[in-house]
Amino acid sequence: MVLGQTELRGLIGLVSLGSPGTDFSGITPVSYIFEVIQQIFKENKWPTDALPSYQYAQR
Amino acid sequence: MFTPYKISFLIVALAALLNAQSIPVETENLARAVVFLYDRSTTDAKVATGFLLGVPAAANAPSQGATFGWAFLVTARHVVDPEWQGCLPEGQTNPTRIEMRLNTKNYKDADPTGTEYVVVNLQQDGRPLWYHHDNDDIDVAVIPLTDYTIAPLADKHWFRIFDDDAGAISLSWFATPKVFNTASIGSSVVTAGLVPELSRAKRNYLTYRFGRISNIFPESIDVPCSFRFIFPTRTVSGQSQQTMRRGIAALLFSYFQLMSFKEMAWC
Repeated sequence: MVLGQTELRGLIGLVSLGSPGTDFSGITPVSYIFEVIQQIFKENKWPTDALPSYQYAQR
Repeated sequence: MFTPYKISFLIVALAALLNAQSIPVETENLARAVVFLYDRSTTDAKVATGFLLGVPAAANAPSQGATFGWAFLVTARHVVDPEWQGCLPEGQTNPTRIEMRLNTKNYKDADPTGTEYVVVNLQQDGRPLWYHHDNDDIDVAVIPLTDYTIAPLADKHWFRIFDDDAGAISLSWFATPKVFNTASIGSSVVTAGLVPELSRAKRNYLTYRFGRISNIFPESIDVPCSFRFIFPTRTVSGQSQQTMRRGIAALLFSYFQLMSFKEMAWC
């Protein structure tokens, strides 16, 4: 394996497919999760000022 | 009888592993945020996984939780909405509640169990309490943890779940679009989740898989429902040959674009 050539850091997605019985997994990009969170805040009229500073924040 | 119908879950974190010791995530906190989910709405109970996500309260906002302003349970949509998946066995309906298994604090080996089950309501008066993406092809469900979704817990507030050995991932863990867009075939990734075969263990044990992104598909491809099940030989009400609707397929291959080979077995 050639490791260390990329520097991906952080949570990039949700595994929504995959099991020991299969040989690969599918990944749902994390941006979709964030967009649903934004939708929840909007629909419930929760203060959204907590969100921007955490949007896709780099660790 | 528990039937683990979906393994996995979770998180995929990212990568650039120089060696097995360099998992670029806070493993202790991550282990507290991943939970087993049980759907006991049928005799053939199902096991899935999810993770807890916390959003800190804004500086001037009233705190609604012990640690976070808001907390959410995140899982795949097909866990709470199998009808949407197009693979719901005839005569069955979507679950109205699921159970979340959390590790308890101060566990000792001699204890008969080291977990607690917390009921999460998915509907109220027929109205869904969970949210999905505006794009109907996205396989994500987010459940706000509130007094509506967490079943009454004696005289305590919903956030007493954090009295257990549970924690939440912060939004600050999310990779930026810039980082995400650097992902390509060959990028190293780490997935973290619970192994359904271990769902009878006294504790939830987080397990990692290490692999690489193996492809990014540009088109939608139909896959059979059985593809999601752990045991390839398992047939559910004769639906193993059923083809998923194209929207789901899109979710798998167009919207879930990244596919990673598991280069190491579960261990």
